[in-house]
This record gives sequence, structure tokens and C-alpha cells, in this order.
Amino acid sequence: MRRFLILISCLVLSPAVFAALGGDVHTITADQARMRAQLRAAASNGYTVHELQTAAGVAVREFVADNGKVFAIAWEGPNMPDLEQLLGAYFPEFNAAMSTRRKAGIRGPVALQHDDLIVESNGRMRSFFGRAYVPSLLPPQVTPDEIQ
Amino acid sequence: MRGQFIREFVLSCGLALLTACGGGGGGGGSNSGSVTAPVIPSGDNVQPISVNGGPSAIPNLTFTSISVCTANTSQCQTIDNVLIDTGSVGLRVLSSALGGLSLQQQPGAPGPSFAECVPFVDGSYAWGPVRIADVKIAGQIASSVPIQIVADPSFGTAPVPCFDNSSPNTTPRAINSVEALGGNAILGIGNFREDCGLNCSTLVQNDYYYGCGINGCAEIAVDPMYQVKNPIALFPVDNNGVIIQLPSVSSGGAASINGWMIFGINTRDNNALGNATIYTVGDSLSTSPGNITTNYKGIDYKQSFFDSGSNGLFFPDNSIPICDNAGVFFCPSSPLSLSAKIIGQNNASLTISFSIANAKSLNASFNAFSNLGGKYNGGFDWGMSFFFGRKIFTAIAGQPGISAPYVAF
Repeated sequence: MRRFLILISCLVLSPAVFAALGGDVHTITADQARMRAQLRAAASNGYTVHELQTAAGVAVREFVADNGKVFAIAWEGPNMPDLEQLLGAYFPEFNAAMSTRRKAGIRGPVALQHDDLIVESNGRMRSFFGRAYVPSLLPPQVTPDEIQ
Repeated sequence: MRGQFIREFVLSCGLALLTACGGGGGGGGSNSGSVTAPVIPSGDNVQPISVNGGPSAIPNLTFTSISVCTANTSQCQTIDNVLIDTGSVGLRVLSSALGGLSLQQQPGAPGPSFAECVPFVDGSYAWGPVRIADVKIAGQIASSVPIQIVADPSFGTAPVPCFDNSSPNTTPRAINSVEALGGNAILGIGNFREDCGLNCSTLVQNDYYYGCGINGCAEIAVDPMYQVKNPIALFPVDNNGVIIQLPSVSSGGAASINGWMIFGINTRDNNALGNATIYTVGDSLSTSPGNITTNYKGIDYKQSFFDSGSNGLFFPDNSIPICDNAGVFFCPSSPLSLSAKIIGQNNASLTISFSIANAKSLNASFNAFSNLGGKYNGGFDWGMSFFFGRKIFTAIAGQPGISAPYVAF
């Protein structure tokens, strides 16, 4: 499940920049700086996966379409990444849903399924993993199974 | 308000019962599944527990009462509605539940003030200082246990490297109330001695631990001796694990179910492993800590686990309708009888049969259900629904007699 994507194209070291979900890859450098992370990027199936590896051992993969938009993120590691940072403009929607969810008495993995926002988050201390994507931003050839 | 929300998910009569079936695979051995009338355990290592909704009427959470004392003194505070969580490690108490009890920082701990931020999967977090306390449960006393004080108003907000609150218009993510926590405290009694372990003792940027002073908080590497600890591991005896024993609940659920938490494994007659089967769990970051594998409908999910802090069976099945998009509880049109195979890292395995009811059809005034489930696409979370009618052992890595952490039943 948690396998890294099989990266078809060459792995390149990239000085590149990062973006939150729905954001533009060329406009935001905040993630890498905030996470103090190593970055690498690889192209596959018409999109590019930028992988950040944080000092704390969390891998965050951001999926960037040819149009430069981040359409998905995935993470795994001993800690949670900051979803406020990674979900960007989608965070308020996520956070409001989570607040409702806590009040509704749901204690368990997160499987948010809004029309245009999917967030799955699981784990406990020492082992977290999850993913988020925006269905309308998915390139036509990409299936959700590829986001991991 | 909370009750209203719950009623949206959990209304009137319920359905089939979660039952274990023996059989299964390579583990051989026994199952424990169907428990006959439980023998009431007794001893100073036995603590009553109750699945009763707690202060916020949340279904399928398990509570108990403990005493927390200033280390090496008789100044104590009884704390009720303590959530029992086999999915985490360490005691985390809301500052508001301490009744003004003064707890000190452990001598030698990093500082000047030593604090922790613990994240949860929904983006919320618990922030606050790490202090030591004597923790009394049943007849057991764990001395000078590092615990986390959550939402201490005198301690300030979480630092930026942890989680920031840069969006003033969003709902606060800090766990800062009984309502947000679901109880007064979380008693994490999972498979490890410390909450973070090696990652936090070797990495400065571990995201969990902070030294705070007048200039704010900075991340620090922390020796395991100062990390927030599983109180059970600090009992003088009966310190290698815990049993959660709960009677069965009928398919319609129950208003409350009472059971026992028994400390120690194979340390005395009332906690003998007997013919329970051991399923070892990962013990390091490279072996998926705390996790087993679950095979559901032909697919292996390697990040699966047992967790009394989750209130249902959460698993990947897009064919089962969810109640609505605010929650993830399942609402099938009729009760489903399903099965999944658990596979320990020692390859012991067992096929478990279980039922999933329509969450909206369950009795809204009840708090214990064996057939409450919900959706998760990444693994199989065997939450509280699984614990009814079983006697589940959780063994702590590195403690006496425990060569590898495990769950057994």
C-alpha cells in the first residue's frame, strides 16, 4: 500500500519549489522551507511527483500536473505533516469538517469525501500516513490509486 | 448539541453481533473469540472500566478513573472519565482536570520548560508541558511518570515548528476541552514504553518535543527517560502489558458495558496468557510500529492495528454506503456479515467474522456496539467494536518476558 510510486522517468535533483494542494508549483516555496526538507522530483504518467523528506523522517509527496497545479498530496512517517500547510486553501473546508466530525463522536481514521476534496488520514504516534486530492484537478489519465 | 450529532449517526435498533470465528490460518492455536460468561477477575492489578459514552456521549469509547499525585507526596487528584487508548502511549491530562494539583518538571529534563505537541489524524493536536506524577490505578502505583498536561493556560500556544494557528478564521485545532478530548484524559497503554522513542532521542527536529523559555520554544532531542511514558511500564510489578476484558454486547448494542483492565501478562494467575494466540506487531519505524497486516477481500493492508481509542471497525470498502459525507460510519441498507484475516508479523493468523450495522439505525441512547464500523481506505483499524466479548492482551516492547511487542487474544 505504502509503496513509493514507481517512477518512470529520471530522478532529478531539483531546486524547485513547492505548493499546497490546488496551488501553483511556481508560486510557493513555503513547504520545503517550513519542513526543512530534502526535495527530489520525478515525472510519471504526465505529472511530476515532488517528494519532500523531512528531518523527522516524514515523506510528503506532492503531485503536480502539467499545468503546474498541485492536484494531490500523500504522506507517511512517524509524525503528521502540517495539514494546514499542505492543504492550503482547502484547509478551512477540511478543518470545519473535522470539527463537525469530532462533535459527532467519530474517533478513528479520517475519510473525508466531499464533492471536490478527498482526504484520508490514518495512524497513531510513530506511524502516520494519508493522502488528499482534488478530483476536479486530477489529470484525465490519473486514477486515485496512483496517489500514494 | 453533541447528542444531536450522535443521534444523526446512531438511531434506533441494531443488528448482528460481532463474533470471532476460530479457524484461520497459520497461527494455529486458539481463538478467544466467543467468550462465555466471563469470570470476574480480582486482585490489586484489576481496574474496572466502562464503555458508557463518557461526558460527551461518544459511542464505543472506554473509560476509567485514576489518581494522579504530585510525585512522592500524598497530594492527589482523582480523575474520572479517563479514556483508555491502546493505540497511543502515555498519560495526557487536561489541565482543567487537575484541580490545581501542582506537578513538577522531571529533574534533568530539557528546559527551561519541557513540552510536547502530539498530533492527531484529523489535524488537531494536544500541546502542553511534560511533568512527572505518581499515577495510581487499581492497587498499582507508577512513580514519577512523565505525563503531558494538555492545554495548560499558563503555558501558551504551540510553537510554529509544531503546528501554527496562522488562520484566525478557522476552527481552533488545539485539544483544549473535555468536549474536544471526549474525556478528562487519555491513558495510552499501547505497545511501547515511550510515546515517541528512538526518533525523538536521536533527532532534534522530531516535531514532538520542545524546550521552552523566554524566547519561545525550540525543538529538542530527548532521552527516552524523559519522554512521556506508558504508566504500566513503570509499575513495580505487572508492568509488561495489559488485558482489556469486556463481555459481549448484543447486536442491538447496550447503554453501557462494564469490564476490566488487568495489568501484567503472565505475572500472576489472573493475567495468564493461557491459550491465547500471539500476533506480534512491528516494533520499529522500519517495521511499521504497532501494526499487523489485515487481509480484507483479497488485499493485504500492512498498516492495520488494534486500537481501543477508535470507536468502530474502520476499513476499506467502497461498496458499503457511508451515512453522509460528514462522517465515515457505514450505513448499509441491511446488516452485513463480513470477515477479514489478521496476520501478525510472526505470521500467526486468524480469520475474524464481524458484522456491520447501519449506524443510523442503532439506538441513539446506547453507547456500546459491536457492529459499528466506518470507512478508511488505507488499512484496517480494529477499534472498540472488536473488543467486546474478548480478552485482549497488549504487550509492551522491552518489558520483562516480552521479546517482541504483540497483541494476543
